[in-house]
Amino acid sequence: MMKNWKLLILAMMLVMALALTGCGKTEPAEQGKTDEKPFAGTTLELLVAYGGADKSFDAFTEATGIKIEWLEMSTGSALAKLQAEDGKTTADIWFGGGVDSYLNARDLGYLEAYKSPELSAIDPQYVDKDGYFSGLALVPAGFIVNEDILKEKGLEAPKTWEDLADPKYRGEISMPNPAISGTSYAIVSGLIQAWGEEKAWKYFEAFDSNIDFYAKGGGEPLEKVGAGEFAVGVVAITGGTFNVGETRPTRVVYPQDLIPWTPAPIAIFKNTKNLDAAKALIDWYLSYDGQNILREADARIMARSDVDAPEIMSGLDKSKLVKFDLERMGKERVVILEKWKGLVGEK
Amino acid sequence: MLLELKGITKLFDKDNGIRDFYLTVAEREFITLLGPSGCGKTTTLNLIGGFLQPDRGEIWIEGRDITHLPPEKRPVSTVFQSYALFPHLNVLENVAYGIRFYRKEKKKQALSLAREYINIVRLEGYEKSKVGNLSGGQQQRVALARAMATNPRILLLDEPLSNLDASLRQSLREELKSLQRQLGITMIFVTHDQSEALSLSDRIVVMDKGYAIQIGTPREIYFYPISDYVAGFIGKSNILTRVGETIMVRPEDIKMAKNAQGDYTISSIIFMGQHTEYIISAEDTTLEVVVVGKENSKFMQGDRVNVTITHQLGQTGQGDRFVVPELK
Amino acid sequence: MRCPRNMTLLKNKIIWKGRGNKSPLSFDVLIDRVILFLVVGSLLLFILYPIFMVISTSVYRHGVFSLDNYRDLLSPGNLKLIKNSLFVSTLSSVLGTFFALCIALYTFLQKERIRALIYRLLMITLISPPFVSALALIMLFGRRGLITYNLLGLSVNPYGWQGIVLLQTLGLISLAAIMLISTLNAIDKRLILASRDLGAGTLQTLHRVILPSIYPAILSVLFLLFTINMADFGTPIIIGGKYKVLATEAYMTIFSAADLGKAAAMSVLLIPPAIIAFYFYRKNLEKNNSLADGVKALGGEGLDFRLPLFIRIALGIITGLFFFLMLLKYGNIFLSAVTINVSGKLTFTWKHIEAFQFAYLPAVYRSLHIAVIAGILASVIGILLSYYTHRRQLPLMKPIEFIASLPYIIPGIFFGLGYIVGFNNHPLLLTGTTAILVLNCTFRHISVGNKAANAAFENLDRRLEMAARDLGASPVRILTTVIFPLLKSTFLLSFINTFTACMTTVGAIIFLVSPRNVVASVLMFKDITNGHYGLGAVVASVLIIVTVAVNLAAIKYLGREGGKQYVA
Repeated sequence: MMKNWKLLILAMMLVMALALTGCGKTEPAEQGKTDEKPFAGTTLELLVAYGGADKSFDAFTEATGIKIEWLEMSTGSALAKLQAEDGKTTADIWFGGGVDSYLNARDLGYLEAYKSPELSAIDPQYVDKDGYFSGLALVPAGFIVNEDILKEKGLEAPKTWEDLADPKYRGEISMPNPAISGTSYAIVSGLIQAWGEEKAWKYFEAFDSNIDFYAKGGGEPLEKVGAGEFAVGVVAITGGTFNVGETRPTRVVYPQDLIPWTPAPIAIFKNTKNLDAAKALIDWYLSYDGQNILREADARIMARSDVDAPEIMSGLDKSKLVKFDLERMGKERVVILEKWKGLVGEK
Repeated sequence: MLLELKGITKLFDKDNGIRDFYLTVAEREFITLLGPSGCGKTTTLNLIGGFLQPDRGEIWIEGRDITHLPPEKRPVSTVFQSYALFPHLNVLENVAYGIRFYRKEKKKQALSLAREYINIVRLEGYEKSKVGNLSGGQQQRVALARAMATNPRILLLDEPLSNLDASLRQSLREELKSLQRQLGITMIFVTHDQSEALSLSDRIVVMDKGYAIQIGTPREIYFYPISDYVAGFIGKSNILTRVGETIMVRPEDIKMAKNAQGDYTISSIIFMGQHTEYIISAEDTTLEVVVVGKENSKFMQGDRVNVTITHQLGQTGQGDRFVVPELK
Repeated sequence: MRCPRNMTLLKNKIIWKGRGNKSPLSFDVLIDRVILFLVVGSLLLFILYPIFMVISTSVYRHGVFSLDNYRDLLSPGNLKLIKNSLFVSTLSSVLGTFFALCIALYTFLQKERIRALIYRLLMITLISPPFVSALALIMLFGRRGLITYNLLGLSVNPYGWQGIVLLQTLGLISLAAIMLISTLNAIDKRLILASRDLGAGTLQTLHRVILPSIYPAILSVLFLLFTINMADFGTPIIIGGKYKVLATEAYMTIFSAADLGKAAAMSVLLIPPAIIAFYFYRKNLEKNNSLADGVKALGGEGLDFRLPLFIRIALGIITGLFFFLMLLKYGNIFLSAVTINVSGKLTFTWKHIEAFQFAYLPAVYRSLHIAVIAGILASVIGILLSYYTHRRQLPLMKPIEFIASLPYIIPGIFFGLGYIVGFNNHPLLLTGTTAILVLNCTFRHISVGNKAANAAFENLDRRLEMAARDLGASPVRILTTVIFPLLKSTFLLSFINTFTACMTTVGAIIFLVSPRNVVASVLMFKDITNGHYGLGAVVASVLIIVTVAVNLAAIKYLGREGGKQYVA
């Protein structure tokens, strides 16, 4: 018995010592010898806010030999974490999520600029002009509706943004708080850019009176509409949004008047120790092959113009996409959210 | 001298602790610290054991100052009140504890040495018992064996018999004394029981309110107490006022003789077999008298008697002062 | 007693002079100092420093001192939040304490076997992964709840303060009931017998003897629940709807405004009420201890104490209802792991479990690993802290002990933030490591082991340590050969508490995880916020099963009586 306790104390001191010296050293990257896979054996850490992206990681590792460790984290949390760490994250790559957080991180100096040669095939609308981030795909915003609930309440699915302000939907709509969800903010900013301040704010006022409370996470409306707690959800439309319909009576609706959108960005963290491998990752995901594989992992409209839209999204009328100024969206965030808060109050 | 306490003072607050305590203890001596609870007996023991640091004064053993040695380095061992046996260890492990840590023996050797001490206190067969399953007397023996096993120069015993019933206490008292004689261990013994003190000790230290009031052999303490406090604490005494002076007398130092004109009347009788206790009274005094023998048990209630005092303890002067007759 | 057969035993006198001459700074004494230094140093470094760093982010902006964040801290909006927080926390705590008291009284009056059963069930219901529990109840009682909608045909809107109060109340009943049962068991049963003997009826005895003697415990439970509810951000996020409380808004401020300074300042607002409540909790707990002191408790066996029928029925119904709800809750979590809810209709599926298999096992393993180490470390440090503070009574240890209780009071997320702000630079570069998770979990829970050890030391005869020293053991030896063996059940209790909390914690470590060191509870949180409730339920189920299994193993290995006492 005495021995056990001695061991325990010893173990404790050992653990303390380990903890104090920090045991988080990364293994040195093995230098690959083949020219094809110069970074074989390197491990990259990804903060991911791109639902389904993980299904593409195996293909990437096979193609480049680079291993991936990843953590799903909303871009809002990631930005807060970056700030707390003062940019000294152990992650190398930021993958997907709300572009406003990327703009913020860029301005705080947490991102590394990189202009991939593949960018020539990508609409510059999706890309930061200094190369701090690049667009992987386009994420349109729209509605998800629960057919059962609509039937039960005797409602039709909303077709336009204007419809959402109709009092008949009162209490049946779930939308994330734009202060928390990048998509929600893109919708607010997109409508303002498309309609102009006056019309947009008047609309928001009418819309707001239909809302009981704003959801506190981007994924919440999807789940709550799926479970039948709400009839209509305002959501980012990705492959995952369609997938819900496989098991639940939900359907995706593209607004017929206009479609706000945001790019799903990708960026390299300034603090990376594996800059070249990180660049290789960006190149691969922006390449024709990479884009196709990523589209298979989660059906989205890809950034490359030479990659077709996935079949389930064929219903999207690209002409309805809002002409979107990302810079303006980023700059106005604080002002818009302040005004938004004044409008919706405690919700 | 084996142990010397030189002017030790340790005060917890104004009223608690010990003050200016001097004591020397010789090899093989059995010393008893006697006094009511709160008089500083245990404090003194803890100072010798090293569990307390004195505010002033020094403690020397065999000519070396050990005042600042921690308990684990002092050549003394304590048998604690209620024994403080380790409940998670068995008898053998308890006894071996000090052999391992104080004598720095290897575990195996410690266990075999421990067995010898268990034999000394006659607990063979109980080596593997949990101490919680032993009787009070057995626990006391384990505590004794455990303390002796470090081969201490001095064994300190803090009321070791107080948790035992009367007959067990009696027999253990005798065993303790014979053990001390045979092995020649120096012991310092704390008790509030005067009969333990008188029967066991070579010398007694009578304590009160942190002071050592009197140090002496049991005979000296009993027959020549230096204050009425000591006289009152050990044995019974009568206070008798005679022309201008007040004296103290033990009940057994009064002899009675029947006399129809006697000063005293017998007011109550308690017959104890071995001896008889009488309460006798005159106009303003009541005395307790203890006599032995068949003849002396024959006084009747209401008998008038005269008394003779064969030994007086001393005269009280002003206040606490006490005039002690010369030693005889 | 007999003389030894050979006197060699005694001739073999120790030459103690030689020993005494050794310098006072022997190896063992040195080790003692090192341990003390490690305990105090680690508490300062891993508790005080991160808390200091959080507060400093609220007053330093880009290296410039500024009180901007505090300027509109007491704005009408924030005052409303404070009011809301106080309102729901008070209501939840009062209700939670009341129901816990009912359950505790009911348990107290049962036969030994039923008592033990209820106690064990309560121990299991302590294991409650955050978010999932709340969601399970929404799925049962929400707008499309299995019970409210499917069974009763109601469409209840649970979002609002009522929902928060309901969930917070339910969530802490187990903890409160366990604490109250322990106190009831410590009442001297002779008091009850005496009261009956003196002609008081059972109801009068309850009113005049039983309740007054556990009154300090009731108050301390109340204040503890209040402290926990004030810092709870998870429940209001999920069920608050538009009803907002301070903890939630502070949490949201981090994400929405990405403004750590402001968030930290808001969290500072949470600290005074928490410290006040915690102060009363501790004060009453001490009163409670002194009450039980020296009173010999008799077993409840054979005690014939029957309350009037209607009260017994009421208590029985409350207890039964609570366990029924818990059964529904856990049943729902397990069920959700293998089903899909389609507008209220459940369909069986393996999908969630398959998804779990691929990606989550390393994270579960890591969780286990971290929680076991943290459980051991927190318990050892808690016991050592208590030992140095109350047993050795070293100077300046009392304030250190108070520091150790701070992480228990402040919202977990800010303790986590402190770590990320404090440990992102050399020489304290810990971000992204597993060590930072272990340290955070460990130092968040020192308080539990510390309090348990304080209580245990009260009942441990000081003379045992004196005896050990007297027999030559140095302070370090005493720790290893006497203190720790005797405090095994305290260690177990602390280990189970810390382990369970670490397995299910989210708030404190959400910022500390990185791709390299992600743990299961955080993955569960992600799945739930992403709407993958089924997958979240699988993770929760696995966490519950693993936690129960490890707790049982710990109880089996470390001792029998450990599960019986619970000190918070």
